[in-house]
Amino acid sequence: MKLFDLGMKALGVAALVPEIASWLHKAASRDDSVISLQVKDILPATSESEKALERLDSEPPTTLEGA
Amino acid sequence: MSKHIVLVKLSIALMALAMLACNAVSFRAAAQGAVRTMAHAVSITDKLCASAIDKKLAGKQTRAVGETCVVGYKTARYVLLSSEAAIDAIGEAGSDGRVVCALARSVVAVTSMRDAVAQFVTPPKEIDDALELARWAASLASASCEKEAK
Repeated sequence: MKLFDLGMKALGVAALVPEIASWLHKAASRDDSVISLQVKDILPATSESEKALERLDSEPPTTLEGA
Repeated sequence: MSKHIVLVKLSIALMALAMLACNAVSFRAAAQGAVRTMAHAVSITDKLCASAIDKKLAGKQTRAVGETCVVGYKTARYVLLSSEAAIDAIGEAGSDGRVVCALARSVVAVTSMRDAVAQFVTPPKEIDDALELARWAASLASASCEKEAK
């Protein structure tokens, strides 16, 4: 009977192994970039303002030539 | 942007809790909190600037406002990065001063960005809170910043 109980417990633990492995894999590969405390990650080299200015420059100039 | 606002609020709340929990906060802890909070404040202000540029809220002054924001961002990013490096060296000769001066320069840079954009949109109060936190952290150690302010 004791051997049977031990066997059942071992089977239970074995059934959990893939579950635990999957959880560990997820924990190890989670995306840490979502929350970062490093200034370089919070502030990329190119600012949004700079990109907006580039967009502004790429717009065709508005002239009154056609008037 | 809301993520940054939440993080600024969280940082300020954590700093306030730390101040309540202890009679004194170490300069290192205060500087770390201020640098991170200021980085998020820069990010928020930058996005406000970008939005103001895209919507041409400043009319003919759009380019001038944008350039103020770009210069402010670059300066703030540079001094916050150098401040972060100096925090790691706190305790070594001159490092406290470098942190104080970098924080002070980041306050000037963010204030210029904030003022440029405040003419067209109301900046969230978290930016002013971050500026106040940085000023307070910078006041915890003494330094002469004239040489580094160039």
